[in-house]
Amino acid sequence: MPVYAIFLLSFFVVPVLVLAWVLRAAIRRYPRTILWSLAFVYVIGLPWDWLSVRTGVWRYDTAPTLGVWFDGLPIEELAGFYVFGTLFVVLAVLAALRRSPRV
Amino acid sequence: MFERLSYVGYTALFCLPPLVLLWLRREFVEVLRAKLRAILLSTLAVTLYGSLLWPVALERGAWAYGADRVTGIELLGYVYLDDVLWWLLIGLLLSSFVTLSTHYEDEGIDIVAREVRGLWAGFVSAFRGLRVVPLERNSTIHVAVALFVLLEALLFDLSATEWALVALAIGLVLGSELMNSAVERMADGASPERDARIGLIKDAAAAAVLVAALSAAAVGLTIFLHRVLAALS
Repeated sequence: MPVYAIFLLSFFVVPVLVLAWVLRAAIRRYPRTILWSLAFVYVIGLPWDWLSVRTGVWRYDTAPTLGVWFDGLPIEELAGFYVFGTLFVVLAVLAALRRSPRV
Repeated sequence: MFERLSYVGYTALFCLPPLVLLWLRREFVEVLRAKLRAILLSTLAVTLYGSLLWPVALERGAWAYGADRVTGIELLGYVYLDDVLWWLLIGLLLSSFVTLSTHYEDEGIDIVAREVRGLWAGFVSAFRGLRVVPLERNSTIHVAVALFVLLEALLFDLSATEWALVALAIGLVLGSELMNSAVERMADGASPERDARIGLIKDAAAAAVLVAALSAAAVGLTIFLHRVLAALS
């Protein structure tokens, strides 16, 4: 069983889909913010993740994965956590901003 | 170097510089401070969420940490301090960026594109400034000397540290020479007639080049003199 994929699906993909529906107006209003956030996560996160794996800070081969790897990084991390983890945080901020009296 | 960095070390290395970038600029800080409550609220929310979930993923082996790369400190006997810090800094970084970017997007401005365009324009202006080099006698002499030193360095097979010192020395001299040219031109433009105060300013700028050139000469002698003498003997 691909443990990481199931973990992401349960705790990031589903919440992101729910938040995205609730905050659909904000998503339509701020497309550039969302795209730049994703871009920055890839620009900063990819070398960080790659170095961390290469130098033994963490590893992803301790449980079954989907089986697609890029130099020690599973596809779950690259296409799953980078996208849905980022969207989760971005949507949390958009929700907090919506509640902020100054916005 | 990277082999010695811990989980917390990597988190600091990759999160703190962009945070400084966002929180040091006065223009940005004014926006961020106005929405500080939302930033802190969302940072706290994602930190709590992540801190609750990460031990679940670790327990099921979604990933694992190198035993000697984490602090080993568990908060409430449940979650690693390293993970909490990771979420805290990532949450703060993304919250700050999203808050800033949405503020500008509301005004029809793509803040990242604006910053990149500004940086590019700055580089173009800086490269255009190199046009002053062929206009000044001293600048052309410094460029010629720099070329000579670089060829010598190639000939004598310098170490990496020696190359770095040579590069620094050349950059110091050429940089101060360019600054001197800028000060001279500005002073001449501001006061075409002879003026004792302007004269002192121009002399001080020229003295800066002299100091840089003398220290570069000291670096050059230290690195090349014994090699040249050995080659001659």
